This record gives sequence, structure tokens and C-alpha cells, in this order.
Amino acid sequence: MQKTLKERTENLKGRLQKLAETASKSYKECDRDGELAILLPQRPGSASWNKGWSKYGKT
Amino acid sequence: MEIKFSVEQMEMQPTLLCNLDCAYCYLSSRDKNRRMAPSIAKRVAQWIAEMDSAIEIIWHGGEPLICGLNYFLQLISPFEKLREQGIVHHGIQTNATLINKRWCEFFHSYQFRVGVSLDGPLWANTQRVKRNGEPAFDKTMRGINHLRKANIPFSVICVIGKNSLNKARELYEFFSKIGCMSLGINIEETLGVHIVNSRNDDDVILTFWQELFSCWQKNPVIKMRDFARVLSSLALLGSEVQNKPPALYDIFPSVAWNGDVTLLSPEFLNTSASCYGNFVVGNVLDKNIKSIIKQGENASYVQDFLRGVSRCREECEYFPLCYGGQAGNKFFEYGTTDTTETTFCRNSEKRLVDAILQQLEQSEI
Repeated sequence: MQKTLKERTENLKGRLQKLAETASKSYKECDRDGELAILLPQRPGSASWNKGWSKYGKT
Repeated sequence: MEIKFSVEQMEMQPTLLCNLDCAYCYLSSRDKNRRMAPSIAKRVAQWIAEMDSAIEIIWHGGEPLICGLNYFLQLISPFEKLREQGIVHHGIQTNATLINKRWCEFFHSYQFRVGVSLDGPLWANTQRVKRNGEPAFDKTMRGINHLRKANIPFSVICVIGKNSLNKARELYEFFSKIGCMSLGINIEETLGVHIVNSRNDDDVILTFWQELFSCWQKNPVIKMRDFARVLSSLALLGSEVQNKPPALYDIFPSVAWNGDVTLLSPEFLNTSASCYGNFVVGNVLDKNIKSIIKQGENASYVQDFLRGVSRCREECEYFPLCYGGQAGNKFFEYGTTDTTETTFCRNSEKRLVDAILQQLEQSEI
């Protein structure tokens, strides 16, 4: 039986967290910490369908 | 599902005109020289001043720099006090071909976040051409050199066409050398007047993301927009915070050169459809933007979109990673915003997630 996404991520939590930190850390290194709020999951704030206008420009 | 809206970003279209004629552009009128009047910018600034929260203005286009520096100064002048107060932040997405030393001084002075559109090395830019059909690559690289000399951080948006799908490694190597701060990947999409022929590219796209992820893992010198976003969400999947539905959704208004306002997707500017008319929910010269947006929440394409998002939430296990997809992709692929999965979802959300998980699972064995 095919595993759900949730089941697949359970065993990978530690590595995913570490990789997410690496990805976020690079933003911190650029002194653009403010953008973390947009890049990280946007709760309890707003959810952007455009993901922080990433699709339209900001990365 | 009850959804409340916020306004955190808005797109401004200072001009329709573009000096390039990219094959995949969604704008139908990019050869028309229509500039936004300063009075429109002034109205928008007045509305932002009445809001109680910060907002990011994305100057898009057409090619925004084609307005000319002096004209652009007139457009941003009404926002200056708000920028100094930290209420307005400026961003701009440009093809970089017109960037020079003066533009760099302008970006620096007004703290613009600069995004450049570039698809990779010369061979990857066959769709990014000038109006005479010549490649725009050299001019874009010249603009990038100006940004680098001026120490202005910039991000890049790279559109991946069919010719680049098997060249993730070459693309990553290129972008890791040009000095960009971050990179966002947009798999070529059906949007506006541009139609991508339906292809069964799932496996090719999965392999593309896997290769790119592998390159980034080995040498994470570029900040990859897509990996940063998805990894953070995947790490939280199943947690209480991720299971909780979003409290607010950004309705992302776009203001056209003539003051018309559309919601949810900038591609709706200058578009019309029998079911939704011209998508315009008001004009800033006629009404307060706050009331335009409030009224616009009831527009049929917005309500249809909310219905589609509700079904996404019920049906799709990827929902906590994307929150229901993009209104523009839904409409331009299906002719309605009341729909669920799109090719964009498959290419840019699902295959991306699958690629990351497969890579990590394989390396666990």
C-alpha cells in the first residue's frame, strides 16, 4: 500500500528539519531575516497563494 | 471553509510595454506604450496610508524600467514617506537589460529588492529575445554586472522550458557563478496568451527536480526559493501548526497602468473571459481601494476560486504544502477558477515534493 505524504515524512523529520534550516540559514547570512517570515509556513499569519510573490519575482 | 483576506503584497503595473518579446510571456499587449499616471500611484499611496499594516509593492510590467528613471521617480514619490516609516517596501522584477549605474543608485536609495528574469546561460535563453528576435542574454548579463558592481543583492527567476529540463546541473552551476542571492524556478506554464502544449512530462520534471536538489545539497551556495519553501513545510507536516487551517489569505491585488484592480493573480490584468468579464473589481481613480477589495471578495472568480481551494483541501494531501494552488493557473488551464489540480500543481508542487522525498528516502536505504 502506498504511503501517505505524512507517513513518508515521519521517518525523515530530522533530515528535513536540518535541510530546511540550511535553506533558511542562507537567507540569514544575507541579512534578509525579514524574508524568513514569508518563506517559512505562513501560520498563524496569512497564507499566500503566490507564496510571497515568489512566482512573480521575489525569491 | 471560511476564509478571511489580508493584503500583504500588491503588484503595480507601471507600464504595459516591454523591450523584449519573450515567447512564453502571458501579456498580450506588451507592445503597447501605456504608462501608469502618477495620479494612480498617488491614490494607491493614500490607501496604504489608511491601512494599519505594512505592504510590499511589486513593480512588474511589461518591463518596469522602460518607463525611464525620471518617470519612475514620479511614480514612487507618493510612497516615500510610507517607505521611510517602514510601511511600504519596494520590489521590482526586471529583465535587467536597461539597468545602468543610475538605476543601481536608485535601487540603493529606495531600498528596492531586485529580481531579474533570466533562464540560464545563452543556450537556455532562446525564448528571451529582443523585438528584432536577437537574444537578450548579453544585455541582461550587462545589467547583472552593474548590480554586482554596485553590491546590490538580486534574485533570479528562471523559466524552465523543454530544452532545459534535462540540464539542471548546468543551470545550477551557471547560477552559482553569477552572484545571485537566490533562485526561483518556474516550469513553463500556460498563462495569459501563452499556451504550453500538453505533454506527459511528469518523469522528466521529477528527474529535473531531483538533479537540481542533488546539486543544491552538494553545494548550497544559492538560496533556492522552491526548496526553502517546501522543506520548511515538509518538516512541519503532520504537526499541530501545519494541520491548522490558515487564518488569513493574501488576496494579492494588482493595479494596472490605468488604475484597474484585479485580485489573486496579476495575469488577470488585461484579460477577459465570458464567465468573468475583465476580472476588474474597480478602478483606483473611482473608488477607495479598500472598498474595491472588499467588494471584489464577492466577485465570481474569487468565490469560484474559494470553492476550488475548499475542494483542494478536502481532496489533496499536498494541500498543507501549497494551500490550494494558483488562481491564474486554474483559470488559464480550465477556463474557471473553480477547479483543483493544475499542470502547475503537478510540475511545481507535487513533482518537487516527490523529488525531494525520493532523494532522501533513497539515501536512507
